[in-house]
Amino acid sequence: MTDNGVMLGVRGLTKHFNISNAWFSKPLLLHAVDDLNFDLRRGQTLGVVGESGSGKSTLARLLLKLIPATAGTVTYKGRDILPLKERQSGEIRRDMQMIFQDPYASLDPRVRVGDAIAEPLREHRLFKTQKEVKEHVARMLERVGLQREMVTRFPHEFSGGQHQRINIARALAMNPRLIICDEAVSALDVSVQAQVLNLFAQLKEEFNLTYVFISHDLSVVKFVSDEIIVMYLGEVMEHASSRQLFERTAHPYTRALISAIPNPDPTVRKQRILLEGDIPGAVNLPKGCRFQSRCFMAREDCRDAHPELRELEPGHFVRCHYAQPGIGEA
Amino acid sequence: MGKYLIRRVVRGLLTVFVSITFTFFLLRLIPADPVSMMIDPKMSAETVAKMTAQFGLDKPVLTQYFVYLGQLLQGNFGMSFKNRDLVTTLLLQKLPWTLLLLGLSVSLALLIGIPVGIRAAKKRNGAFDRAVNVVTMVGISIFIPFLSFSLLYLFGYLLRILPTGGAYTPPPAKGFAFTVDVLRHAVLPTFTLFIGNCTSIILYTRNSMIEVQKEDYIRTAYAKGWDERYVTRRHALKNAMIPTITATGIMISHLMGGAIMTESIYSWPGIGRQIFDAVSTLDYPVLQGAFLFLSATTVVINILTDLVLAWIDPRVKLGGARA
Amino acid sequence: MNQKTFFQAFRRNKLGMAGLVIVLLIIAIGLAAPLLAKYPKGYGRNIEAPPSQANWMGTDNLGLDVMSEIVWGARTSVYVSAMAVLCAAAIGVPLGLVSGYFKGRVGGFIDSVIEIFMTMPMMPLMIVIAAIAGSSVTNVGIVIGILSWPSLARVTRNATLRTSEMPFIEVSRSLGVSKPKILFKHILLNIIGPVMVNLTLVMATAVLSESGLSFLGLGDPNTWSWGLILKKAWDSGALLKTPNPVWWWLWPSVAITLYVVSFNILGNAINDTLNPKTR
Repeated sequence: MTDNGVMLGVRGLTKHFNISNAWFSKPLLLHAVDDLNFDLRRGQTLGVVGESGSGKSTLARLLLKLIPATAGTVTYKGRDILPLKERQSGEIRRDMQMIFQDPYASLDPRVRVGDAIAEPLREHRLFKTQKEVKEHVARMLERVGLQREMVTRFPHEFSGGQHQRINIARALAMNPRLIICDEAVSALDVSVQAQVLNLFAQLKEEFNLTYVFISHDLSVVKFVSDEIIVMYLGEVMEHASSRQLFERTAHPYTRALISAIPNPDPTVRKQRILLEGDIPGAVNLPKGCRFQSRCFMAREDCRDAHPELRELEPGHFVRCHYAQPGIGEA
Repeated sequence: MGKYLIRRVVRGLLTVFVSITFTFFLLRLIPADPVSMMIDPKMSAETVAKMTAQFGLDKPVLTQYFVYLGQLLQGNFGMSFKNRDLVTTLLLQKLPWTLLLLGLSVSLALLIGIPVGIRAAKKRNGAFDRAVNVVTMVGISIFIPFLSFSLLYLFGYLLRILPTGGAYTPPPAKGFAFTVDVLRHAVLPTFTLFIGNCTSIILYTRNSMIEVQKEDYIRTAYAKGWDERYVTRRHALKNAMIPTITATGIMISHLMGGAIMTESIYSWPGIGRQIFDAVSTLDYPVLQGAFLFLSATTVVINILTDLVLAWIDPRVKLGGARA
Repeated sequence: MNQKTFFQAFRRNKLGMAGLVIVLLIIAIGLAAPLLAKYPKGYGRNIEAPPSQANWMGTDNLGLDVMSEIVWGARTSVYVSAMAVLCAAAIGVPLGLVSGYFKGRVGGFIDSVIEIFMTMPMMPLMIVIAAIAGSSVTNVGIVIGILSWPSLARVTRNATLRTSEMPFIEVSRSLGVSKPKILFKHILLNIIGPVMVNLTLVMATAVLSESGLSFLGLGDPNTWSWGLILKKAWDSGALLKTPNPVWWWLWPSVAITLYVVSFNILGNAINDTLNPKTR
């Protein structure tokens, strides 16, 4: 492990998709992720929040090298992993695991659960004998709260929560260091969500895991994260520790997201800040601030000048001309 | 649009070129020697050599290939081994007969197939649809000689009301009488080709109508209380026609398979029968010419299909759509 | 849908079951031909005799038993169609998988090749290649198979394109599962339905093509096939002869049609069972 426990270092990570399908016309670029930077220390959880189209799922796929990056570096344990060929990526494929949004579609419907979990173990030759593989698979199923007899069943025999448990067992079986959860609980019922989130927390202690937790739901992210990044149209809007972000909110977008979290205490009346309209397409981006079209405090110069990410206070970054701690509080 | 068309034509030319090259070398693989089929055993060795040289068959295959390409560029398709006719003349003689058959059967198929397909789709799994389903199932399974035999037996043998072969009664009559005579001869071969075509047209129309009716905008149109016939005509049909038109394009180019058997059975003097004759006599130049003609036709039809599609539905972006 | 539920659902499709039974019956007849009938050769005593106790389907112009010819012809049809399907599958499925999964330059190139082959006139090409390859039954099967691959490759490609978008494929990639395993295990398992449907169609068209080639005289003249019986009937002018030996050309035609219809019904039934909503 190198410098002060940084496990994952991201610098200038950018992904533009060319969505023009004609051969010779000039490219039409979709800015999915623009110039992203962060360090993730061992044992920490980084939350990434944004609406759909903010580039958060693209980020997950970039970190796992499932799609090639346009620019930037991703270092894992001090080594740049983006230029590595698939053949050289064995360590990353073992150490970094992803839990996907759709628990049902994440399992091949034609493959028995036991085989699905065992397949990557065999691929990476993590065990010498088939007996060891089988025993490990059964142990993992039990660890996530399922029965070892379930190995011979097909995915369609399970519920949504059970599906996600199987997916977690499969990731866990690889003995990973880092788990990236892309909307891992958003497809589940609220009660099941809590169970699965608790399972994540337990596993983190038990296996000494590091998480990147991606969700559109700030309340879920708040529950698990040490540090949070708020994304909008491919850019970081605010990046701070979980406490700073909620107690000293500096960006109007973050404020709007927080105000949308339902408060369980009916005596507290909070003013909700409604975001009008949908997130605009990331193709023809406005010249100035990307959030200006929906910002409740946008001014004239937000339309022309593109704000840079600046450090408002130590460890608290924000991209807004008028950011200040406690912005927009009623 | 213009740019797209150019690209399409370039790709079409490429396809034709690949097809020419493929056929050329393919034909050279035939183990038998074409010269041996032309010559009389009584001919002297000298005459044989002269004939071989006359057709350029003494040169290496690669040289023959480039000579052939050069001739093509000048519009020269070569000379038939068999009767020394120019291939172009030969094919142009046969072409109108084949066009007559294909034109008649394809237009009849469209004329009948589209309404039948629409009606079947309207009441899915209704009595009409079920009947159509059985008919099409048999239609796509039909063996052309079987169909021809049945027709010949019925109309040519039992009833004796239609001619059983050829394209006209020799000597050819004049004027209107000739037209009637040709049409009478064309009835059976046209019907033979028609069955297969009509079946695919019905299938494509029915299936795409059903697909389209599931689409949101059609349901919206119904929800708005628009008249069913109006919705069908105005919205559904237009979009349902897209696969049907594509199918027609593909169908015409595949029709030649059926045309070979049909024309052979009915002694119809068209391209299909010419191809069959040329294979049995190893007449390379005629085969090459016929294949060139066929692949060029296919390419032209595909381009036309694309253009018709773009004309029917402006949403079909020519740049992205694949034929 | 797994295998068990598929067969349960398929059994309820009566037409499909009928198709399956006929197909199996014809295959059985083909395989058991030597036990069912003597190979028809030489000359018989009764020429163009109508159906009787001795010859259920009559005799041909050499006095040979038409039914025996049809039984032996079934053997040829079964063999040729199996051969054709094997060849078409061996070429079409891998090409379709690869071109659907590697969407970039490789996929585009293979797709263009498929497109060029789709525009080639198949039957004329088949005739030429059959003439080149020589007229053994095996060659005819291979030729038909080689020329039937493009449609199969198309179907495979489209199904692969859809399946490779599924999250579980991305999951497999993120777990470091090798590309061949993703392609030939996960994707192939999930597209087996449409591929099967297309294979039954290839079976059906293979019989049509084989009969057509034999009818045109490009089949094996020494092996009985349904097309060859028809060719002999046609060459002898049986169609317009009086009295007309209808049995001679009708029964082989019925055999061809029955085989092809059954395969098409079977394919349709498989398709309906897999996608109950499309019918």
